Amino acid sequence: MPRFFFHIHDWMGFTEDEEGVELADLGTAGDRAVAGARSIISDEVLEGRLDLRGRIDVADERGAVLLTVPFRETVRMIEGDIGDSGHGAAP
Amino acid sequence: MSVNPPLAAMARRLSLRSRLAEEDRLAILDLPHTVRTLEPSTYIIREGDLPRQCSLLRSGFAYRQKTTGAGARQIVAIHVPGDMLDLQNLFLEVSDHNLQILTRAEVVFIPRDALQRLARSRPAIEHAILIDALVEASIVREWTLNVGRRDSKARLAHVLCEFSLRLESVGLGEREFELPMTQEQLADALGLTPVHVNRTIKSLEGQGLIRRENRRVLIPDWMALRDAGDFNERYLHLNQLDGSGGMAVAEAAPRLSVDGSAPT
Repeated sequence: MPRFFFHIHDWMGFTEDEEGVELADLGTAGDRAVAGARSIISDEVLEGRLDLRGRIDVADERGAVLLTVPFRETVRMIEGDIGDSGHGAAP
Repeated sequence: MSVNPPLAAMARRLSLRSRLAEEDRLAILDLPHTVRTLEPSTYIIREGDLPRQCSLLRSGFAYRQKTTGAGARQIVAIHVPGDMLDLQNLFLEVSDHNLQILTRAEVVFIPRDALQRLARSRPAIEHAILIDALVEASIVREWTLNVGRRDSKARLAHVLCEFSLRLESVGLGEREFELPMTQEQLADALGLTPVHVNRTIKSLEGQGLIRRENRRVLIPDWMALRDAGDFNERYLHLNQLDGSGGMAVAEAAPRLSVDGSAPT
């Protein structure tokens, strides 16, 4: 199985993944990057901060970036207010 | 008999839990046993299995895990060299979790019925076994608190503090150790994702709470990491025998040498 590396770029700077992990394919690696981004975002939300500027670069063993997952693409943003009648179907 | 028979580490461990007489110690060394070298990921026992033997980790690391119906794994305990691995299965009839090898390990297996007979015939040994199992339960309670109520940084800092002290207590490094877990395994122990774990490590590093050299973790300021991890070593009961209530651990942790030789 190929080894994928998940490098994080966010307000903290650059977090290099020196370890990597063997996964079946790039699709699985993409899912893992999305889950990782959501996990980081949700942790910060608990501290009262939502910063979606970060991204995760999924790289192969030679360092080539195969996929970039921006934090903002891992969550659906729904803004505005719920009206008085407003608990209908989720958008 | 060789200088360091495989069961010497077990006698040593149990004598840290409760005072044992020389006859107790000899009875432990006399237990039937087999020694096996096991590769990472090998299952020692699976959930649902009927336990037939108890075991002692002579070298290497092991972990206990449970998995949700959807396949998400939670590592509920880590074992370091010198640990007894299956004492709760000494009297429970079915294993309620999986026990797996983390790094290449030497494991001493003891038939369950032989250890049961020994426990029943020697109250001091039974007492020591009970205390060992109670300490394990105490560690699980702390881990419940850790994953349930501490934020990601404190969770990781706490586990690193625990690792450091437990390894130190068996003479494997002081404030510096080889981390035997991958990001993925740490994530499963902390209830985080591997990507998040890597960033949390980076964050502790950025604050100067740990330093890393490949897989080695160095703790430059123990008290700072202890504060960051909300860590209090009391729950490890490292000084069960000296009546200090665990307050003097950092200065006077009893040493259990992995090969079972006398404490330093």
